[in-house]
Amino acid sequence: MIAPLQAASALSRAWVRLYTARLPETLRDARRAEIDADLWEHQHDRLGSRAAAGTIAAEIVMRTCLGVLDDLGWRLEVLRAARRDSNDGRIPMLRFTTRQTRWMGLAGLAGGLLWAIYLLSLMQRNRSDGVPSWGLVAPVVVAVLLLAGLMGFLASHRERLGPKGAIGVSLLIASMASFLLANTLLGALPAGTGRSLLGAVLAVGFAILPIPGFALIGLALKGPAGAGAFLVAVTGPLGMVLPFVLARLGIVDPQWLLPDSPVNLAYGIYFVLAASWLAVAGYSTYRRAQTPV
Amino acid sequence: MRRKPGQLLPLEVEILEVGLALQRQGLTHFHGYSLAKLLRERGGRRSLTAHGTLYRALHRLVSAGLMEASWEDHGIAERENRPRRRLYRLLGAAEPAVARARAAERARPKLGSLQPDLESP
Repeated sequence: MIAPLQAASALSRAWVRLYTARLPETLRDARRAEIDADLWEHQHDRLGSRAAAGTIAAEIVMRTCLGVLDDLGWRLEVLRAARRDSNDGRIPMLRFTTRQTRWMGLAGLAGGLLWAIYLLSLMQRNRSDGVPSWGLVAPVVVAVLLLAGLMGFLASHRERLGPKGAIGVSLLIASMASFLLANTLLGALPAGTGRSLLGAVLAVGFAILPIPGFALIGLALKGPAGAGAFLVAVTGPLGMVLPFVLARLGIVDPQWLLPDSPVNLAYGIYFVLAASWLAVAGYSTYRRAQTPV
Repeated sequence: MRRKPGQLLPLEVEILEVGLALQRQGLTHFHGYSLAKLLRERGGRRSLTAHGTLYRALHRLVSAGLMEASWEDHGIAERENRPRRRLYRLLGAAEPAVARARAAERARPKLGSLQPDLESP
């Protein structure tokens, strides 16, 4: 084949391979074969009418480039139709096997329980004792377990949660991710304004995001699960934000907010409730994965 | 702007009209490149319809149940030493769909008709 034609066809084929990547096999192969056939017909038809190779190559490049937006639009249409056909509306990255979901549920259960125990034990210690050595590793382990648990919960309860609940769980996932980043990344960064700023952002993310997160889950889920999520959402501002506002206004004694323990009692209660809810959510994920569909 | 279900784009109407014209000549099946050539001749354009535009329109027409696509027999392509063609054929719903699209187009007010008549006193 003539060099410019070869190059133009190669470009067109490379583009087809790119925009059909990771599409359902039958659609992907059909589109690739169809464009292959079109390229062949185009070249042979135009060479037969004595067109110059450079002209044909330019035509092929033009036809490829001018169709780029439609190619991308077609890809979106095909993906949307494939998702509609699968009829579950689940996010592809959150499709786990039953076995994986079961383990994720167990991770969530363990994470929730460990977090509650950890918080309760810290609340009973004296501030002067400081945080025990295991207290540095435990939160990271707990956060990893809870992240897995929340992903499993989102995947297995997708239909029950609906869009609102899914956003709520995603906020909890973001909160856990903030916590993990704060406990891992921050330690590796040199001290300075950047580190302080990132630390503040991550701390706010960890502490504040669960409040709207639990509220949305409370709105989405019916029964005790929804009521529990609401309770956590309400305890958040009441237990964490309100006392600080009252202290600032001089209505309560700031000392009340800082009991003699490494964990502030006000938000300790909020976190213990949140941990308990997450443990129950993990158990629910585990049970759901046990039930044959 | 999202189009209404069942509404055809101008290129899709054109494809169906070319298909109907071919049908009247006794040609029931056609492939993408031949269609691109016929569209160019019919529309008096200088260039062929872009790959993406053409095959997206064909995919939509097949999905809408106005056309049917099938792969050419292996033997024919092998004998002619070329890749297999994907052949399209109009279905019964195509002709009424074109008629509806053309009627809707006629009913739509033209931009010119909305302009005030500057000549009249």
